[in-house]
Amino acid sequence: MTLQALFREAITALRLNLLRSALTAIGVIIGVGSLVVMSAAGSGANKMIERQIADQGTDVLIIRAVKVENALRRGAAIVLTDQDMRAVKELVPNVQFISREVYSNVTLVSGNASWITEYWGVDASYADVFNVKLSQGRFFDEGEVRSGAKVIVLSATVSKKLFGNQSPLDQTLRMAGVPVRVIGVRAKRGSVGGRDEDNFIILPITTARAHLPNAEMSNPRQLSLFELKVASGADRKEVKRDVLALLRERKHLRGDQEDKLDIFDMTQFIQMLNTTQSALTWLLSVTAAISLLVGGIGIMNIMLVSVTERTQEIGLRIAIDARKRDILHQFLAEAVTLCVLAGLVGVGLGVAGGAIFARASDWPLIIPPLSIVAAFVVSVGVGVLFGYLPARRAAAMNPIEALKRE
Amino acid sequence: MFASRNETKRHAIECLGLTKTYDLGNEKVPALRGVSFSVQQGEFVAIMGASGSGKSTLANLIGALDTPTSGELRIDGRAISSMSNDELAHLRNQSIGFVFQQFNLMARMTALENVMLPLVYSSNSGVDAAALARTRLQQVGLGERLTHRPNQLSGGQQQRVAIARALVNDPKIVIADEPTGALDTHNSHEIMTLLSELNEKGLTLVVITHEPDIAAYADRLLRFRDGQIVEDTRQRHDGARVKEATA
Repeated sequence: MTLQALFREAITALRLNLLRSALTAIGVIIGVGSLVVMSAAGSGANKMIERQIADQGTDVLIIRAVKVENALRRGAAIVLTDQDMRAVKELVPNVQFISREVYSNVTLVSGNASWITEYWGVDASYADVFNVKLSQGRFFDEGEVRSGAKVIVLSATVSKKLFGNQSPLDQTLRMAGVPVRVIGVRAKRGSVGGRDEDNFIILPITTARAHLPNAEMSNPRQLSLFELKVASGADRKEVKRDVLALLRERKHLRGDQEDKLDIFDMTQFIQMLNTTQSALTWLLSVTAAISLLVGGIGIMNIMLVSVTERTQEIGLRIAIDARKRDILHQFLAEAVTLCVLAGLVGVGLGVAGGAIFARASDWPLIIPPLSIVAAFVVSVGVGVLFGYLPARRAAAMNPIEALKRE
Repeated sequence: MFASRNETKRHAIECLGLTKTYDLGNEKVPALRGVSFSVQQGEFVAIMGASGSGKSTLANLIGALDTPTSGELRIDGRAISSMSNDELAHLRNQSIGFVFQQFNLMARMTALENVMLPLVYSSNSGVDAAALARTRLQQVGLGERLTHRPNQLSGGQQQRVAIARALVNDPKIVIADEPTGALDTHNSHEIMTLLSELNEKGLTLVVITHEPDIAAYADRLLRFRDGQIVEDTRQRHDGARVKEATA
């Protein structure tokens, strides 16, 4: 029997029980769909990590004082200042760029539009530390930082909220009542794990300190944090260790005292993403595995029913010359056809579900072509695995007994 | 091989001391107890007997659907007992056609597709299956009913489709197990006339029946009782019997 004839027969047989076939296929559909979404989410996470690395590199360290949540220990919190940053800059080797930062929230007003966002008051070297890319205009320079120039760089979201589709360049807006001029717009960064990464403004730290009073800052030279870029080729861990040692010394932390400092490293961020991704992958793998198992058993069950229903047909086929192998192939082809059709629907639903998920969560989803191939292979595998037993039962039938059955 | 081909009357079926015992767990039921006879090519044999006499068991054996417990069985000159399942299937495909009481047509297939079914399993791929099936249906007088499904055909017509199916691979032997059992008298005689015509063209025909007027179409009557042949009679086509041998 040719393969083509085999599958034509299989489709005819499945169409006879269309509803039953469709219901049986649901498990496999869900299983394959989960597989597709899983691999799409995985590729999406990888894409996001790649984007982060391309955006900021992995050689950035962000140093901040640990917030002390316990009120009784508030006095024990340390404060990072301009002097700490300068000490790191001068004493720690292999620091290529370093920038101070103060941040908080601010209300922006332009014409009738207003928008509350986060401001980041930084040094001009911030652009070098994070390899900042602009879609329009320029970043501020050291002179502007020294003079406390009233210039700001917008992000994509803020530009859109305040100026719509018009160019914000050289426009003046009011930042907590102070008029400031827009000199640049940072290129869109997209979102990470559902958080908009384009909702902020950047301005010189001096301007921020002069015009945006921050209740949390007890000391006029206090920093929210400072960030540095490790010189290329240098050992990031070594720099991290040196920074920590220097700051511990400056803050008079004894050997047995906790650090009270957090040195955040891009690799930590990537690890976090990886953890999220593997949790998602695990969840979807379990869903896929259970669905495929249940779906496969459903298919086995319905094939057994089908074999019993068609006992007479099998007897006849054997009497009119079918070999055991032919009967085995016929029922196996039926199970595989059902699974492959289910697989195709599953891939379709997976792609659609992935697209909806991507839209809702801003988590980029990429459907790798290989995942479609894998889904197809899995479908065929489930069909063969769970179709084999019923097919073997059909092939093992005694034609005489089978023909007697009404 | 050549020697047997040169024989003028070659045996289509040869049985020698054939026994078949069914093993029902703790009980062994003998269905055939030493049956010996042979059927020549082109012969038309009716096998009669009550239920449980062993006639259906014999039909299954000579149809290569089952193998004997002991004894020798040759179909078209080839020994059955030593054959594998695939070889039996091949033998059924090439040499034997079956006609059943309940027609056993595939309800979802047209008459033409039903007749084509055995060709699906045969290896000679050069054959135009549809053309061959159409010819066979024309031979049984159903050239106008090619695309009808079994439920659109009368019982007699369905049995004709089944006969066309049995003939499609050009078998040497056709075994019909109660071919008229589900038909009225008129249709029964039409079917038997058709089978007789096929026999006159050289087909070896074995008909299992319990109806004497059906058995009367045959050249020879084998009567079974308790797993043994109790009567082997040659008869003229007018139904008058010529007693030749009695076991």
